[in-house]
Amino acid sequence: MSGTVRGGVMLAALLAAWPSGRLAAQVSVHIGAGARYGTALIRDSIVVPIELRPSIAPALLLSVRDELRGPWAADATLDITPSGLQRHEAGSSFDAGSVTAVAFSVGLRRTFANGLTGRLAIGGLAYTGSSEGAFRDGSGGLMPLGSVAASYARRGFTIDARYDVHRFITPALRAMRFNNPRPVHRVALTISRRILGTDGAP
Amino acid sequence: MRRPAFLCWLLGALAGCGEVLTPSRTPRYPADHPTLPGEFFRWTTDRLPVRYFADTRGNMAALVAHGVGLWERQFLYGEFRGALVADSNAADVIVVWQDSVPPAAPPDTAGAVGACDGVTTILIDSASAITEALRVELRVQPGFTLAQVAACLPRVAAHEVGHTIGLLRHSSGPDDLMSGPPRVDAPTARDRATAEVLYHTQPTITPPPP
Ligand SMILES: [Zn+2]
Repeated sequence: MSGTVRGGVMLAALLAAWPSGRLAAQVSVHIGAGARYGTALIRDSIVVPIELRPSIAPALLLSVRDELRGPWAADATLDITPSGLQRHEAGSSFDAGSVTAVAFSVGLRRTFANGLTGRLAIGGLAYTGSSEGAFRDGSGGLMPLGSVAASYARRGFTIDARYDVHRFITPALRAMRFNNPRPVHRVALTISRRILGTDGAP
Repeated sequence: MRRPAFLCWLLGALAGCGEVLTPSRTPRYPADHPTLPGEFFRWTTDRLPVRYFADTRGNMAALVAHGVGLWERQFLYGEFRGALVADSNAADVIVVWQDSVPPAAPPDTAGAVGACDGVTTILIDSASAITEALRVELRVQPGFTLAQVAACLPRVAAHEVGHTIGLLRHSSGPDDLMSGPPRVDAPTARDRATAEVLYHTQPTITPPPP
């Protein structure tokens, strides 16, 4: 329930950030869903090597896109991934709770021939929904995010292959003397569809 | 100094801006059985959460919950979790008053060391198997004020919970929670490192029947 409300608030905020006069002609709203894989949030060694890794999880996208001149477009994207956490150790996996990654990014898109589009974006990512283990003293706040994506549009749907990277550390990890944030790489395959407005893509 | 930090922020730390070091888990103290050297006990993942029954009299439930919570917080990956249960027959650990039940009082830590004590009993057979639920008894010592007893009990309860998670020896560090008697209220870095290493060490003593 609260997730729906938050999503609605975010959509309203995204729409409010755009000049209203542009909405009908050049601005479009897209939703998407898919699956995401991420590398380890933590790599540790206590007797044996240990990794805390998010499981492959659904990726939910909400994006507002504004067509610029020619093949260019700008967008703002909210990207939510609720995932389980697993501790991998000595060839075995153990449940270690769950966490939700919420990312917001602003990007520049360029459409090439044959419906192919590339996207470069920056933004921030925050973890929420866990207060255990590494998250017991907080999630570490907003972490900078860089993202690239390639898309292929056909028959009203767009298939996206997304890659992003952020650096992860939490107050509990700092307290345990982890000295630096660790880069976390994520890839996602999503399919999205325009739900409002028009855009240059088919 | 500011420029690398700014680049990290701008690029989302694409390449990372500093080597990530794994923290050391030393110093620590031995955790094996004092009279069975080299024998280790810890709760395995399939036995979590460990079920604690607390004496229904006085504030024992709060003392046990406090101690369990303290130890849970020493782990990054959920290696140990405990839960209070209402039925002693369904418990892995039973915590009771040895004799009198102290009334609640505002704690006074001055002179509180020795105002109470505890004992954890773990019965192990010749096959290195724990045969029944672990038993903890807390006891109030005469000659102390109620306030001193109130300050003593949480740290002794946490110390005994430390034994029940598998820290079978005492630390030689007088400032560690697992020193006997404990003089601090919470696990230290040495206590934490010892518990973390224990929970990634293959146990040789099997837990009591579920
Ligand atoms: Zn002791």
